Amino acid sequence: YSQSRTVKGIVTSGSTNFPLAFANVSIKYTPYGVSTNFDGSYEIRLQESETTLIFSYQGFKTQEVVVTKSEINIVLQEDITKLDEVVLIGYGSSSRKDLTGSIGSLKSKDLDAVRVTSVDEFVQGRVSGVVLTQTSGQPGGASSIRIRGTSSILAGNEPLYVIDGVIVESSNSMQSSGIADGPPINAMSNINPADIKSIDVLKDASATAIYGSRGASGVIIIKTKRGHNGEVKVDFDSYLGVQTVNKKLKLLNGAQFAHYINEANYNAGMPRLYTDPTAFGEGTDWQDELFREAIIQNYNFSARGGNENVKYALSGSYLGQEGVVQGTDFNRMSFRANLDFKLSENVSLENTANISRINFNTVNTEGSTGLGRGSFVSRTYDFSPLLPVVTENGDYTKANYMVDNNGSFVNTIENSNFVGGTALVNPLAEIALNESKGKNTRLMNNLVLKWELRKNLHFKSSLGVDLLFNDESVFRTVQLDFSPSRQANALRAKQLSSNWVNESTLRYTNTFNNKHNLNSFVGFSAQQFEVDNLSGIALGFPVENFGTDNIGLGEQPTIGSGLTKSALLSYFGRASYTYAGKYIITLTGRYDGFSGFGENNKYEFFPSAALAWNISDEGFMEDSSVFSHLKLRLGYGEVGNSALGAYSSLSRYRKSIHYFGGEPAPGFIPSSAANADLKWEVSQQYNAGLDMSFFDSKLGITIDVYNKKTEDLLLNLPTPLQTGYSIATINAGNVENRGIEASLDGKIFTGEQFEWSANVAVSYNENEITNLAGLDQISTGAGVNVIDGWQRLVEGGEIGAFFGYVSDGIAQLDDNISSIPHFLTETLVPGERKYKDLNGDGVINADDRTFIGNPNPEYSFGISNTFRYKAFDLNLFIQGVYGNEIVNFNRYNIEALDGRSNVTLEAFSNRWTPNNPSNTFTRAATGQRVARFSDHFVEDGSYLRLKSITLGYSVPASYMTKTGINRMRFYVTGKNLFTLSDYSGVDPEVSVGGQDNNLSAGGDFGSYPSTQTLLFGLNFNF
Amino acid sequence: TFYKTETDARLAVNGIYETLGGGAFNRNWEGVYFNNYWTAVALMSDEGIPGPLSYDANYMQLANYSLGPTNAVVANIWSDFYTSINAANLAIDNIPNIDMDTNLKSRLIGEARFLRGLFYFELVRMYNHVPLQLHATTSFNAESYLARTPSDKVYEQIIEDLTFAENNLPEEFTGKDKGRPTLWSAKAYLAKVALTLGNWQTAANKTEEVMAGPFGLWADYKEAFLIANNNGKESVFSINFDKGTSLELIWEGSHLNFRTMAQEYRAIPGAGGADLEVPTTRVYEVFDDLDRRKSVTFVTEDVINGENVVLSGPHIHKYWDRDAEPSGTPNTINDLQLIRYSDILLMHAEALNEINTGPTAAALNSINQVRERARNNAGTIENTLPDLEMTLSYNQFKEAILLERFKEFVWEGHRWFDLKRFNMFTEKVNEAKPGSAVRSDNVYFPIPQRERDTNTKLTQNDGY
Repeated sequence: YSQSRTVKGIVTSGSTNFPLAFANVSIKYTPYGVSTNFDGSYEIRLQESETTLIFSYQGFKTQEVVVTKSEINIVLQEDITKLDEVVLIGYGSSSRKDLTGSIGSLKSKDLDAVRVTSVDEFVQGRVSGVVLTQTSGQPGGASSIRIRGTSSILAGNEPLYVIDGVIVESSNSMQSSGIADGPPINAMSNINPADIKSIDVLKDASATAIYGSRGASGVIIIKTKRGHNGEVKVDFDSYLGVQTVNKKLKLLNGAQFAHYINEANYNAGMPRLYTDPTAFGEGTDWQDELFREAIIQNYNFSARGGNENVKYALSGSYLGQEGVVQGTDFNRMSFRANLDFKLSENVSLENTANISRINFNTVNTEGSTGLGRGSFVSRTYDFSPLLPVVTENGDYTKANYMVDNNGSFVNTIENSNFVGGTALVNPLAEIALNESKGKNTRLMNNLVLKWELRKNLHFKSSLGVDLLFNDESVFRTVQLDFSPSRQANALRAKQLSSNWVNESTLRYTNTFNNKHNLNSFVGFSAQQFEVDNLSGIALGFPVENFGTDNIGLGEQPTIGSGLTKSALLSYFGRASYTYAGKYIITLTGRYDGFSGFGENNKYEFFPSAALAWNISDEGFMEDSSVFSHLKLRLGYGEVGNSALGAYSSLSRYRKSIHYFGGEPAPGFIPSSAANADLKWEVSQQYNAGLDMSFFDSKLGITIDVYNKKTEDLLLNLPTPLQTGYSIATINAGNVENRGIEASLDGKIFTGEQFEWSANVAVSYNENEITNLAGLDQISTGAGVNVIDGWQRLVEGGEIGAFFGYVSDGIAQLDDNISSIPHFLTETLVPGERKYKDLNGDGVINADDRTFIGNPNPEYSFGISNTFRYKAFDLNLFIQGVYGNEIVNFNRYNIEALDGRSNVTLEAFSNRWTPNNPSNTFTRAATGQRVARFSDHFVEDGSYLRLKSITLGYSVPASYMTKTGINRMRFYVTGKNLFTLSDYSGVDPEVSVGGQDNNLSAGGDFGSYPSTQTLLFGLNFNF
Repeated sequence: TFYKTETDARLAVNGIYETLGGGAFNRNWEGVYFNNYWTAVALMSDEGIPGPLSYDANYMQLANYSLGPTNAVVANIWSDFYTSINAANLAIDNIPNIDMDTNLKSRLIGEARFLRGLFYFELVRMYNHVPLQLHATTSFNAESYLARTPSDKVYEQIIEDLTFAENNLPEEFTGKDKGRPTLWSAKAYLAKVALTLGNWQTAANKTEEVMAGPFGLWADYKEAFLIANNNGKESVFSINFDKGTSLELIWEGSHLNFRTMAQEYRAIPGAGGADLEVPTTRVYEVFDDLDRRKSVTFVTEDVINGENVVLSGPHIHKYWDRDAEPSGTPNTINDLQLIRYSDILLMHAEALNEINTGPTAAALNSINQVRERARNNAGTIENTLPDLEMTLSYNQFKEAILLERFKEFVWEGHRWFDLKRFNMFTEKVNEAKPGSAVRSDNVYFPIPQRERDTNTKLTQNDGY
């Protein structure tokens, strides 16, 4: 009978200082051991011969301790190598080692270092192969995400978002009933970024095929934080910051503008208006008037904890963001309650709930024109510096009037027309007197039942809902109504977008003979979408005091309502087989049916297969001193794209009205033709990837090569108007995206005092239209600033390629004008722009157009560096794109030199005059030129940008032992502090058309400018 | 599920009419006769130029002949007519299969074919050879891309459609249907088509048939434009307008007043006065001062809010029925009369002059009815515009007819086509707009660039 002794102690986590429950404490060389209790405590009996304890816990480095005393407290250090990382793969998870597809992952530690206001911003530049374009700088504004290029021409290039297992509505248009000015609010802006635990981006088809018809543009899987078994963890984070506009344009001041108008008039044979231009001095700087320093503030509070049976994660947050454009702001309140219940040994329930409320005020920052309502931003560029914002008698200047020699207005609201240059309404007057606002309430809830039927057989069923209430209102005062009717008007709309989903899966996992591992499941899903709206419009308000709150006061109220429904029915499954941890094969399939497709093509099957080989686990690699890990992945899959209107395949009619002798004769007229053959856009994707890690896993490199062939492209084809329709949704042609993407993770230094890690993501993509279904060309490029058809699709070309004239300098005095090819319908004079006669027929006409640029970046990259020195941490994030072009539509106005709008100092200083034979800018001449789309307006869109920089300081723990605070950190973050770009506009990261901008990508016109932000923050937890 | 019942058939035909004029303002869809048609025909000829407040380069380009294939007015007219044609084609394709009253069925198809004939007639006069789409588009395929059909083939189809309408439309509509095309409307267009093609005998026959119908001239030229006389005895075919319900949604009224009214009228609450287009000096000065049509057609000064105001120049005034719409509303309910009875009379004279290479008694009788009416100044018979006599030569009479048409139909959407038909286009334009860049190619619009970009089979007209 040997002597025994008892050892006890507590096991805690090195990173959080929390006790670790269920850590293993075992006796070396024996099968015996115990687990720690909830409070991390353990007690174990050792025989005399037993001298060493082994402490282990999944995800932590194992420690061995020789027993020398009876109380041993152990701090376990986390051990996260990339291989053990859990990656969400859609209806399940996998360790990175067992992964066969191409997936980029961001964990909360990556996310915590940056402060974003919308979830989608996280992925920009941090995941290779993903290009995010912030299409509007408006608070809560839209972005556009392309994973591995643009593979569809119709609005279906946005990835699918899966949040906590629910496929959610990510289309921005569902966020808005379309009444409020400006671009719609970003669909992802409802989610509090601080709630996010991880983001996984599924890129290749073998990974996305489990989402079948919606996998073609990639899938973003978001998981929010949940409770844990252990002590409550309370977290508070707050930041306060100021945002300023990135760049102002240099335009003419008052004196320069008066001088310019004189010259433009003189050149057009009109009298000079101003006897003493210099008397106008600086005049009004409309950009200074519109833009402001805007405050942003954010508060976030969360508590997480629980026990074996109940776990909870609760959080609340408030974001208040003013926009840098006056009159715009965005406020979000969000609440989350994630609860997990263990009902019995084998049944558990998980509920995920998120409620958010957004209030926003917007102004028009989309480029459209008409009714003097063009973008406020472009209006500030156009506005005459001779006009005051507010006149001497306290009224707002109403529109972009001309002023006479004495500074008095030549125009008034009475003699101005309602459209066009003269009646551009004063944006500041609109901000002060009009209203455009909205409220969004979003409720997302998902209830999951998990039932372990047998040891290897798990059943899971979920019911999820995503409800989005939108309420928008617009009021326009009679004081600024330039329409012939001169009436105030009010618009109000409410929209409820609902999305119900029920999914059930049955999963079987088992390991045979320690070598054969099978992980498989089958599932069923039914999802229904519904958009229900109600709107009211009223004109003519005898009193304006009540705005949109009492729309019934209007003299001519009109109401409308609508309902759109669609449904998706799916069966799917996956089987993953691993042999000896070395060879992995994954097979996936999904059979989807969508109500929006044509009668003849409602259902489609989407299969995929992938192989992975952990080469470094082979015997011959065991002694390799180079690789810590080496893996080869090969995958093929077919995925679809069904981002299509609910009724696209049907012929639609709308109500018409006509009067005979004063009596109404109601009728119907067609608005779209049917297409019973409308079918799935299917993309076939090949992917080969190599995962490597070196030097004891300090350096990891992942390289993927892919080829994505999309067939039967869904296309909103501009059709010959002779058919009676301007557009038709059809399947036409194929497009191919080929590319390489690489990411590199390095722990460059890992010392006690100093740590440095870096992450680099680089991708290259090329896009080619391989077939256009027998059409020679498709003219695209939605109308921007009176230019349309500025993009063209041809076989061998790229989606979105710019198509226009090639400018050829300026006609000079000593040119033989009559011999210069020009437009037959115009007379060329010295000082006007010349174009190249590409077909050599002696005249310039539409046949002289060619390809003059394209909006798709060849390379996109992001570099993230994290440093820690003692209590300081520093995160630097640089991001950029290369090889794309931008059409600067703003220059059509601000370089027009046509005596109407203000112009840039550069254009005016370098304008053509007989004494300054400029070859770049035309002469100044009052009148209108026909706007031509030429390479003169196409600019290099490449940029390199210091996207964010954060410096943090954590107060040493020793200072806080008595406060109960675990950790306290101060930080300062700068965003967009520095940009390297040749682009002459405000921001190279821009696009008109918002999220669904495939047919207008790369255009810049009056967009909401992006901002520089400086934030100060505080973060502590108990 | 549509096109099954008699109601569906009625709804389908009624739908075509919305595309003629009025429409949803915020859809940027106006219907061609709402303003583009008559504005373009005036600006392209010697009767119209941009007004003081004109801002839209697209209209200026028409007036100074710098219009190119990207001109938005040219594109909108094309778009509007083909939208209308598709609506007509749907009715023509589907109504025959509906089980319904056969008389109503043939009448409804007759209306649709009348309208389709009218639309193609307008298109072929404006764009020369045009794609001939004769069935509704049900799906898109290679056959959706039509080449331009030679104009003579288009005319064959127009005549076939109008003849069908002539044989299937009633002599008159009453009550709530008054304003729909009648067999007389069809005959009138058959006459105009024949005249355009030089089929003088047909033109003479068809005008004579209409002259035997229930039409006549109002005693005073002014009465032809009174709202009370909409669909009246002088109207052979009109585009009917009305106010509609909500300005923001539907403009069912027309812009006849709004675009052309002088800006000074904005002092009247609710008045239009866009001052976008004004008559040429030439068309104003061609009138004898005592010609009743001059004072009805134009205004140069007026009493506005009790004050006498001299306008910046002559403005078109004839569509403003000041008793019915005292404030000169922006979208008038006054109709646009596409064919007035005086047009029938003048076409009749023109046809007979060609057949006989000189005036005949019947021809003189027709034109003199128009001149006689013009002498009636609200009851007072002025001493002007004497009856024309047999002594006129063929050419003199032809000139006289063109001149009479010039004065009778100012801004009614005829002049550009009349000048083409009389082969006087560049000559007359140069008289009215000296130094303009007018070219003989401007007898047609360019084919819109958007169409040529969309459909490579479309060729361009000469000179663009």
